[in-house]
Amino acid sequence: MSRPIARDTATDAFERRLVHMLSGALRTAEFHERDNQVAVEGVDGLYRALRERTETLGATAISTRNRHVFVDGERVRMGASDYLNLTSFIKTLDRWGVGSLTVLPGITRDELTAFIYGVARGRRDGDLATLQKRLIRDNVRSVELGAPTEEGFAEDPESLPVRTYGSCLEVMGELHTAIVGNRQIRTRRVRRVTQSVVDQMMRDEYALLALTTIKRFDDHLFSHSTNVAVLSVALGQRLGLQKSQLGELCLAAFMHDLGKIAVPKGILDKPGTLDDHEREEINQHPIHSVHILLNQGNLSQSTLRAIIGGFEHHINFDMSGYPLLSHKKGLTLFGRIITLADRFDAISTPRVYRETSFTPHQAIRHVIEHAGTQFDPELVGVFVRMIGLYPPGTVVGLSSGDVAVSIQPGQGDRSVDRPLVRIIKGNDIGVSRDLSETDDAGDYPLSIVGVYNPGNEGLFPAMDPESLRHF
Amino acid sequence: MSGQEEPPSARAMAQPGDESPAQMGVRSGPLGRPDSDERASHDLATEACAALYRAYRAARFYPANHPVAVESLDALSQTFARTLDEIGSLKLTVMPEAFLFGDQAVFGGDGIRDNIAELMFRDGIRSLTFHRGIEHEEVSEFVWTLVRAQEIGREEQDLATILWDCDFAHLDYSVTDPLLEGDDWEGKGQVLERFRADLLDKAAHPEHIDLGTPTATGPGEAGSLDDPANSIIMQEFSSEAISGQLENEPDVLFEFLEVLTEVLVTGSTDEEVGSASKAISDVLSSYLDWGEFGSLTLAVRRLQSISETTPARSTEITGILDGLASPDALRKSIFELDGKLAERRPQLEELLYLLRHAAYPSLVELLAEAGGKTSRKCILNVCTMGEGVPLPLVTAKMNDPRWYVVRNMVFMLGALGDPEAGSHLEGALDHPDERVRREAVRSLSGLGGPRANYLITSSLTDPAPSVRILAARALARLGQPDAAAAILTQITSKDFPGRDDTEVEVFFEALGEVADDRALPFLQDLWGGKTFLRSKPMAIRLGALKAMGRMATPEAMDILARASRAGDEELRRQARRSLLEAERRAANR
Repeated sequence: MSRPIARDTATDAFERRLVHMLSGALRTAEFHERDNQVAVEGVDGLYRALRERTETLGATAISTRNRHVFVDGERVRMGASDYLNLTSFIKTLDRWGVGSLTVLPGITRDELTAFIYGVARGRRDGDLATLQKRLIRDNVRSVELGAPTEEGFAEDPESLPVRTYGSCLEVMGELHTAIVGNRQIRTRRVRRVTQSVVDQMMRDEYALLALTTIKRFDDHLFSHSTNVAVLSVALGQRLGLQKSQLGELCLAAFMHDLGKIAVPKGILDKPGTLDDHEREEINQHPIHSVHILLNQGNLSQSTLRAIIGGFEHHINFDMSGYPLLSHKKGLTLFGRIITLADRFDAISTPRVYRETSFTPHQAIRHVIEHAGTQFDPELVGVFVRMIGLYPPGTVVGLSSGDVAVSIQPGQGDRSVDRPLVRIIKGNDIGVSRDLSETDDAGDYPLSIVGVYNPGNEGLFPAMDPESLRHF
Repeated sequence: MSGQEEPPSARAMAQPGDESPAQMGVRSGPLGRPDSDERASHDLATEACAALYRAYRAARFYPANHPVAVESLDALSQTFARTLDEIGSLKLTVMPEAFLFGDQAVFGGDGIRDNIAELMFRDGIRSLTFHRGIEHEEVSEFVWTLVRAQEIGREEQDLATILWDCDFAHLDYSVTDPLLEGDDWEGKGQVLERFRADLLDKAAHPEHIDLGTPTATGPGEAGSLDDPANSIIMQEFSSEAISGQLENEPDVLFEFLEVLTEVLVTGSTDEEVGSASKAISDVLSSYLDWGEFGSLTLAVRRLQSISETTPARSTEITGILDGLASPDALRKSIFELDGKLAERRPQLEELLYLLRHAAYPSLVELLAEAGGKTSRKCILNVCTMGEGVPLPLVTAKMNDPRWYVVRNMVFMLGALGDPEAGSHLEGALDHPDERVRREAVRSLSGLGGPRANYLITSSLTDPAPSVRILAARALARLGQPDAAAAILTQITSKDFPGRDDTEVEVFFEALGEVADDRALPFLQDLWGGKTFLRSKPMAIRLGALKAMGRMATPEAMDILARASRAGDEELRRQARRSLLEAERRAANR
């Protein structure tokens, strides 16, 4: 094989546009009906592009592998700004277990519309066979679906999130021991687990987010560091960061609070109010984080980002907070992401020094109220759309009288206040309910009427106990 | 497959570390000889592994653009393409010293140098799968990643973490569980166990938890999108803008430096301040090493500003800047100016001027070593800007045993323009090396003044013709009438006619520039040419005419007018030229 022949730039651009149009049409179909003007225009544009291509070149296969998209076997080169669209497209196909779709010449506009809505509107219970049946029922004959090609992961995907989360706890424990014993940190091992967090997040962001609802105050640093890493990567992914950037973000977020190890435990866990000296000790922990990582040597780019993130994570968007700054004028994107994730997790975690902590719902309210002062407002908007107004772990009272725990936000931006919940008290314990679903009249049969605060009893894992069977 | 014919690809190229699959110890697997299809696939896999190994070895020993490295990567791409076209995917199981394809060994064995299977196994890679469609770019990156994995500090990264960053589209790999290795530590396993227990308990038995009373919520309230306070949620954001933010952020090293300077100011312990200082020094050194003078200048300005506003940190900052300004730190940056990086001189000069108080000793030291014009110019510019380098730093080097060091110091003294430098230059006129004495004459001519003129005049008697010539030229340029007698003394000395023509010419030109009519009798005698014993050499006679042309006095012109009627053609022509020169000069007075 000689080196690949340089491809025509126009062809590249066309394929890239085609993937964008397909992704855009699928996303639009999630929120808008078929007769909506935006939806119509989206499908029209895609239809013209597909017709043009299939009439010229014949059947067109669009496939995914390792989070890359291929058109007729050629990788579509995407830039950083394409990443969000690309991720959304890949996830939509993944949800159905689709590895490739082939559009045949002669596809009609009606077929394309039926295909788009068949794929976009399927909820979390789908698989490839279900989708194929649905498309046959809807007379979609000109799109053939294929299963994914073999992946390199042999592990049970259901056990991976828990294993990944558990690995983070273990490695943080090892880090803690190394730092206290003044030994070298094995950054390589930290990288391995943080990379696995990113991998997991790219496969299924809610599986790990659900685990962040386990907040233990006896191992607070371990679970908090892990939670901040997970929340930061989830937000970074929504912002369109690329995989390698997510890897650096995850590492930085995971190690952001290492400085707490240098603060006396008596102060960290002191019940009640801190005096000035104790407050000052606490406020030094971002500087301690810098010191700890500096002493490790091996200052690679990702370690530098970790040091910066650790230093910045208590500095607010308006540059208030601590440590007090002498000249620094702005915060890095990673710093702003970690600050938001850190604060959200911290205030919604039970601690010995307060009788009750915020519920996840109150915590998200706090985040919204402080957008523009403590937090970057742009990030707040994305963060809330990601975890919803009733973030996973929120215990809610339903209009039916049941009590449920929020598992993940409702699908689509307009459903951030209507999560998917699992009933934990009342009738149908263990059953999941999608509060964004409407009845035939277009009304919501089930709504949230109240929020419970289990306080220091701890929060509820936002997951089905069945999913823990391999753990 | 010991004893089988060597695959063609293994014979194709002879490169460092070449071993055929047979030589690499490839042997049949536990199941014995495979059938013909399997055997064909096995052979292809063996060939692909051999090509991979060759490309890896070439990449290790040659630069990326070396023909051997390039050709072996091309060959690897071709082999992969051929193999994957045939068998779809090439899945290799990584063993401690071998690759298996199915259950057959296709690479490896004892005694292979740079065994890539060993490298992968060591770093936890347990399988590799190459997929059809793999691109040359991916193949190349994979090979270079293997090379990098040999060179990195393993505490920080390993092959698995680097491969992850590469995000290959057509290459899958599996890695061991990160928790299978690592140190034993107190509490290992307990954290996970507590987490497990908590998780299972809460997930399975939520009904045990006392939930208290719910807070009401509903449409239009805080929990609803209808609440105006929640309008922020629906605001659009641009992923392009976010990507742009990341790309437009100052480089991570500069952000890091900002953090370090903050820690330097606010650190509460000596250790924190010390580690921040050291890290700042490291960052600044890196900037210097990379030629990032713009960022470095910004950082130095900031540190100097902190030093002024936070006196408690001035000792640390002085230490940092002293380290940055050491000869060892500056040498590379300054001397690189003599190569391809000459265009960086203005930025480096700006930086060095900012650092000048710490850098002067180093600059003086480096000037001693400076061989190229641009580096010397850079140092001299910095040392002579503003108040200039303190004289004692320069004069302390005047007794250096290396002639070129003294020469450069002499050069600096001249460039400084400090009248006090004259007395130090005086000693240089006695230096045994004429190159130093020449530089001293140049520097003295730059300084000017009666003492400098006197010293230059004294150099007219220097044993080296080159020094005498320079001195004469300097006096001519300076137009020193006091020097006329000394020049004339030389011209009329017995040995003068035997000197080199150039020196003779320069001395007469100098005399013409500085002498008045009192010199004319001597010049008339000289051009006339007759002495008691023999004729003056022609060079002397012509020189005298030239000198009078430069004097351009009426008397000189009269003599030249007469000389233009001389019997000798050459003298006549020179006299006419000198007369024209005299008339031109007279007209311009």
